[in-house]
Amino acid sequence: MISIQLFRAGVYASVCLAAVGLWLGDDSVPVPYPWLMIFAAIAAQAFTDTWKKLFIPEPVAPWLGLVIGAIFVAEEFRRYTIDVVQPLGHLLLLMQVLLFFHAKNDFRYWLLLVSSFFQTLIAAVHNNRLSFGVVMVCHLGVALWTLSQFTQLREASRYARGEAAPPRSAWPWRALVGSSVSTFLVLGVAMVFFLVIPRQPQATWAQLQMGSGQQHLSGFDENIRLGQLGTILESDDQVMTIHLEDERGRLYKPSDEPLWRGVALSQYDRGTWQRVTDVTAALKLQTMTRQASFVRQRILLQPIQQGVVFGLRPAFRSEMQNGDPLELAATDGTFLRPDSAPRGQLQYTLDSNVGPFSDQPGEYAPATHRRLDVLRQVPDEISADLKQYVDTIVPPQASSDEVIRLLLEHLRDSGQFSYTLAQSRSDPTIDPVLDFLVNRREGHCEYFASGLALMLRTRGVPARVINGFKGGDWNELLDKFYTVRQKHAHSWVEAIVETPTGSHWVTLDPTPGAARRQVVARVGGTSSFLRQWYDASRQAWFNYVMNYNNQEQQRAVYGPIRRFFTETLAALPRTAWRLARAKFEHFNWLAAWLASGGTALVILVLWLLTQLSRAVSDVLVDKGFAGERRGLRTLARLGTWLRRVFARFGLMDSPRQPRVQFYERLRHILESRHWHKRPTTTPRQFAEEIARSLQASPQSQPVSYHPAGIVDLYYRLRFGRRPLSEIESRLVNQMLRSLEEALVRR
Amino acid sequence: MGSETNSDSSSRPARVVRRRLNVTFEGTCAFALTGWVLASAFLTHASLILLAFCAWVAILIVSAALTWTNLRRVRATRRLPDHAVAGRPTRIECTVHNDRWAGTARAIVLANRVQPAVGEVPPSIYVPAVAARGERTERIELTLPHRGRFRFEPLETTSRFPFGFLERRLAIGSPEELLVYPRLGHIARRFFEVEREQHPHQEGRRPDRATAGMEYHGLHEFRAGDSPRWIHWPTSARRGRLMVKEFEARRNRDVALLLEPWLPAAADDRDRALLELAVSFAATLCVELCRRQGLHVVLGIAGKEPVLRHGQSSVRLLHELLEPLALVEGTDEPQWERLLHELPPAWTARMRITAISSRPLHLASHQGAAKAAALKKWRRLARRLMEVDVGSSALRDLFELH
Repeated sequence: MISIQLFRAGVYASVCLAAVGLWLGDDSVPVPYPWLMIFAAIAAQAFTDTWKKLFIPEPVAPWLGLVIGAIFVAEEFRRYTIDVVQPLGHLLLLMQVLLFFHAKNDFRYWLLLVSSFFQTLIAAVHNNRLSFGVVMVCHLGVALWTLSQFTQLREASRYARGEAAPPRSAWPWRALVGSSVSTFLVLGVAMVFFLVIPRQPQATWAQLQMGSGQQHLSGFDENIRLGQLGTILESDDQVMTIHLEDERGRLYKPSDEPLWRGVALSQYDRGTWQRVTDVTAALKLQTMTRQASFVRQRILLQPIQQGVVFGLRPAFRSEMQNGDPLELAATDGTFLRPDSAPRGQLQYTLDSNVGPFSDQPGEYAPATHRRLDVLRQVPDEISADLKQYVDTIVPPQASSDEVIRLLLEHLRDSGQFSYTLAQSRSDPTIDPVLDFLVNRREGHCEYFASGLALMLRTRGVPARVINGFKGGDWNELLDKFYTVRQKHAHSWVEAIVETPTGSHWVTLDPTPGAARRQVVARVGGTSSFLRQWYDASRQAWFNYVMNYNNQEQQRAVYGPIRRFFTETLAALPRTAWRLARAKFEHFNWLAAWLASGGTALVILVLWLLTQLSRAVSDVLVDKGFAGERRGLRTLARLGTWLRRVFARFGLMDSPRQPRVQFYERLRHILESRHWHKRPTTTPRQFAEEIARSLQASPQSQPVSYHPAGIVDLYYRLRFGRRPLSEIESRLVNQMLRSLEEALVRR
Repeated sequence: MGSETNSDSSSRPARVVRRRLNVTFEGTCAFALTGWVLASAFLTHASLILLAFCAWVAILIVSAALTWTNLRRVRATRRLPDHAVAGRPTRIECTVHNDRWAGTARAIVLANRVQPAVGEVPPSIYVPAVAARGERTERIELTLPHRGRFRFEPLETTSRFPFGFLERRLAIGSPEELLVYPRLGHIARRFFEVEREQHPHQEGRRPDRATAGMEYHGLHEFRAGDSPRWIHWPTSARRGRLMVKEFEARRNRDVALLLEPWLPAAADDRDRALLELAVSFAATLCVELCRRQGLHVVLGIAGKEPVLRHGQSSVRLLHELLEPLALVEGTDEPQWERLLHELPPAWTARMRITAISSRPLHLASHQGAAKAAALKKWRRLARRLMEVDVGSSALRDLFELH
């Protein structure tokens, strides 16, 4: 039963959960104030509510609140100049603490509950984490349980006769189960609403980014010192999730680890790679040359500080969540985030061609590349040593294809080089790439890529280093997607090769794959099963809640519904035709149709029929709208018949017997005089018995035949379905009234 | 939100079916809050705000569904007593039946709406929970302030469970009526002594016991409650079924109470209070007389429509006497002549008569009666009459209202 203590605990828990939610999105306050709130709640429950020792005096409370609030507001608004919503959340916290130490009444409980709701709203503005979603659900559950207890307590105290509300100490398990069911119902209905509420095609539904919340990805700037990428290779933080589809919209899983291209680095000088930029050469990545087969990537990129975005090369079309395309740097083919892109997380779709070459449509053609000389440039101080080293591997008269093959094999397959994340140099006086090739012979992908690019350049092959990500954690749950983390960062090389059809870009990855995979697998210790669940939940959270927009809605909800109806209805005539011609021997086609959505359609039609028959039966029969009109009466009969059929199969209630009110009233009048109709007696026999009894008394003798007359009319209406005329109705009323009066006198 | 009244088109509804789903004050606030969250969501395009809006919509929908379901297949019945006495607590028994096979019905309020209203809030009973396929009976004590016929509207079942945003009201059944007898009081012994002094011809009679003072009247078939002592065996043997002797009280035990419900045309509160006092006095006297055995009690009310009730003193007679007293209305044209006309001369010749009114009567010099045809009877009655004016100070010591 209801317990006031448990109810109070529910109110406090609700407030504390709201504080946790607020804190999750609050980067500005280092103090973990939810703990302070929990402490205050426990103190209030013990000292104020249970032992009644600690109260803020009523006359002092408003002034105290005003003074502290004023100081607090002045201080907070001085600190928060841009985000003015967060201080409101803090102010609510203060008000709640003050309310904790007041004598409670209904109004104050309402204040606490409503303020906790407002806090959750404020937190919703600042949060986008999955953990906040969990807190939100917990808050909803606790708030609903508390609200339910509150309603019962108030009703009990409102109608308590003399004594106070009856708090009982038994643990309200049933109420808890009931509230859990209510919470799940609410969550289910809320999610359905959330998913089907139409979004405008061009509107971006995302998260308000009040705080920065952006991570810095080392290795993706304009200038990168060699080895810088190694710092993020040991991080397990998520960068993006990628869902792949082929040109027919089916799930696509590449056989090898895909390379998510990031920034292209063309210029090398003393251990630093630099991107060659040209702001005038940015163009929209939209409706470029496409091939018959392509891969569609739906990418959710976490907020990063750099402007680069990632994807498979060569891409020919892109679309962000707001409908705008991405940008492409024509000089080096880097995909860029345009200024029109929403802040924070970026959700975009990228369509990429599949083929042997990675020529990016829109990028300057390899043969006529404006900066071809940059791609062949080797610093003078290492040029001679490098040339000498390459000569030991590649014969002088080797073609460019052969050069590429031999150098690639040398780094990747010869076994002379090993993969490690350890950062060390054997000889700090020489160039780190030369040190890697000549002395150390171990390093991470950045060294391998730099070594290959520079060696190719010594033989006149234009090459550049690409920083991006390779592979990712493949998640088998839900949508089946890649989770790309910082540890999946990778460097590889793009070089220009001459073929009979012309010059083309090819992608070369000189890093030993197996060794790299082993190292990547060691980073992050969570079991893969839990990791998959976490990633799937996170993916669902971002896809279906945080970044759920018109595009996603069409794909996930309206598209399948439209397809279902189109396909099932299209198949209906064919199925009906087959059914008509069936020899009742093979029903495989029927089973197939039922399995492919026919069952749902049948259930839907049945449900519609039940509702229709219920409505027809209720409105036309029970409420007497059918009257004498033949069409409506036929419809009413059909509805009642259908309802009876459905009732037989337990699909709905039986149709109500039409109740004849005047007969009910007659029975009521007689029952008030202790004349009860026996179940074995018909209404007519009962009326005759009553008539005999009424004749015995002179007062009631004049009305002794009224029951029989009323019963006759009842038979006519009930079984003959012939309604009474206006005069007959009036007569029945008069008879009932005089019978009632006579019985009172008797 | 919506209401539905089920009535037969062919006659006026006696059985009332009302189902309503109302939005409470808290619910109105919740709706307003939901609208505000929706506006915020569409202004900011923030997914989580939209989710919060959807959660609120879901709460309201689930709340409506659960509030509706909470009273599904729940019915309430009420047992009213056969009668009540004004000013005394009356116990009303209400039972809630939960006919569902699963699901406890919670936080149910049963409201008894009474016409004329008793207090500002209808007397209500709170039922915390009724288990599935179970029932729970609660009682409420209700003090009806005055006599008359009280109409109890169909028992109204209300629930705001689970969140208090919506309230479902359900009233199914027929209105019931409860007859409330006049307020009773205490009559001092002194009054009866005074009465005896007013009727000197009755003095010296020994109080009768059993059949002493009764006259043999006839035979009737044995009924439950008849004393076996009075079985007339020879007749029983002859007829083959038990016959008992029937006695009739002697006429010298006849007592008549005549009430004049006087209320002037321009009545004020005092006049009405005096009328009520007169009715209460008559009712209390009826109770006292019906307690005694062997009396033939006559009650005559000289209202707009004269009423005459009589019978052997018994509980049944008491109810028959209190019923017209409960319903009597004040008048400034008391119909003494018609009442007198209905009184059989045999009674007026022998019985002790007490006339009660809220004004000095002086029936012996009643002008209207003097002109009447039954002048002789009137004069005879007036000689045997004791008049009680409830407005006089003499009665204050003799009668006290509870």
